[in-house]
Amino acid sequence: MKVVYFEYEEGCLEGCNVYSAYLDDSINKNFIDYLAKLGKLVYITDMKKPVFKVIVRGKYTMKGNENDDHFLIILPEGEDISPLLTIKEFIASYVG
Amino acid sequence: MKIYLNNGSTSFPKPAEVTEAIIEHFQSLPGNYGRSGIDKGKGSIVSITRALISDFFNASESHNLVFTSGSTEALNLAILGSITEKCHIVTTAIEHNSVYRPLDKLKQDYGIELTIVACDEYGNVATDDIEKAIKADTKMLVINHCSNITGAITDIQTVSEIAERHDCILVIDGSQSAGVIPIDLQKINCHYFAFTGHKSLYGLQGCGGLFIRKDQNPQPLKFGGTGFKSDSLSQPQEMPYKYESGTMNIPGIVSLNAGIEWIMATGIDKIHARKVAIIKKMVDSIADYRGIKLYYSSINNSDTLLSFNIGKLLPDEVHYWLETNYDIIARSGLMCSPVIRKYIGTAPLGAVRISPSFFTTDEEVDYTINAIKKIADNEENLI
Repeated sequence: MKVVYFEYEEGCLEGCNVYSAYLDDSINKNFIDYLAKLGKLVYITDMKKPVFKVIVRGKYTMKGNENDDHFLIILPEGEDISPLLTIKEFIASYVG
Repeated sequence: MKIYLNNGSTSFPKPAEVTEAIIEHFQSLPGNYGRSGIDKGKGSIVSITRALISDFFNASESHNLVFTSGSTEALNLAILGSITEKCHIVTTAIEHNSVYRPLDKLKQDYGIELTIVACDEYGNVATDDIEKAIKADTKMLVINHCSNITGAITDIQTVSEIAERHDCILVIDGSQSAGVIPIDLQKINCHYFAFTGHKSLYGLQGCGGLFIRKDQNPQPLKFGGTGFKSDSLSQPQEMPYKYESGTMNIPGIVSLNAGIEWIMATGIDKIHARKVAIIKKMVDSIADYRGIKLYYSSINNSDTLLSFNIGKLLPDEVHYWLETNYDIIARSGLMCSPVIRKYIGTAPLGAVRISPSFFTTDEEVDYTINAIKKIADNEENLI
């Protein structure tokens, strides 16, 4: 799996440092479990599509929907976007 | 298939008649208002639409209509064009930044004093409170007709009587009311009435207008070619040329024409009744559901939009799951109205807003209600 690009989410009030990560493939449960290695996983199956949230305490939160090709990354307020590189490299090592 | 419930921002879909009119416009020879003779003999679409909109708001005897890019430009023209010295201005807590920001510019330029009249927990502004805020040097009242957050409607008829009594210029922001409820400018008789074309008048984005009462003479905000008195290096003083410099947004005006024709043919009451029925169903379905807090009262309300929060979930979070999980396009956050949140309890991050359309189906309403309930069911896990 590869991150094709990150897109800054303008006007997002959850935090002023929110990005979408766009992937070259759709998200499945195996990939969600792989992301969960980075933090605490919340996985909800009774919405229209299964929902995941991976909370990397004190650093960032990733959340999205199974079957989508993108998910959201909420970074702490500020200008530090270095976690994006960490996430990109981590995802590059995923073999589905 | 996405379900679009963000008509408070911009309406979608547009009536088929609007789409057809725009297509026909783009397939015809381009008329350029005041600059070509192509549409001579049948009346220019600009003049026809100006008359149509004036009739729609019953303004033909009382006000002149100037086309603008929307409410923001219209409000800027009314506010910045009328106030050129230090004075006191009264506005309310339910305004949009298209009001607060030009007023802030007047603070910076002239040191005006501003009073923001409070609203109640549902966004209702008491007209008594507006009158109490008026001082000896109050020159202008800037009043939102309908809140874009709660749908609360301000009694502008009474406010116009207050303005007359105290000799204040009255500016009404009709962004959320134009096309929603009947507006009679000969009865309201405000000095300025600003509206946008792309919400409930079903036009394109980038069109709107300002009704200027015939005794008002604001300074223009832009200067240039008008296709009128081109031998003069000075801006024409005649209406509407004084305020309509530059190439006009003819596609927008074409769309406005078709949108208003459609409203008149369909019936504004019928269109409104459909939205009211949807909002009522949503309120009845989710008002008492776990953790859901509505910012709504049926009293003095347009009943065309519904703002809410779910438990401790951030409004953007609810918006995100509605859109990405359920394909429902809503709106969240402050929605450019930052002051009201303090009064209705949505500080600091605002709320989620659902604003349906005349075209929203019962199935879409049911689906949305179930989606909101499902998110509420999972609130604790989604935090």
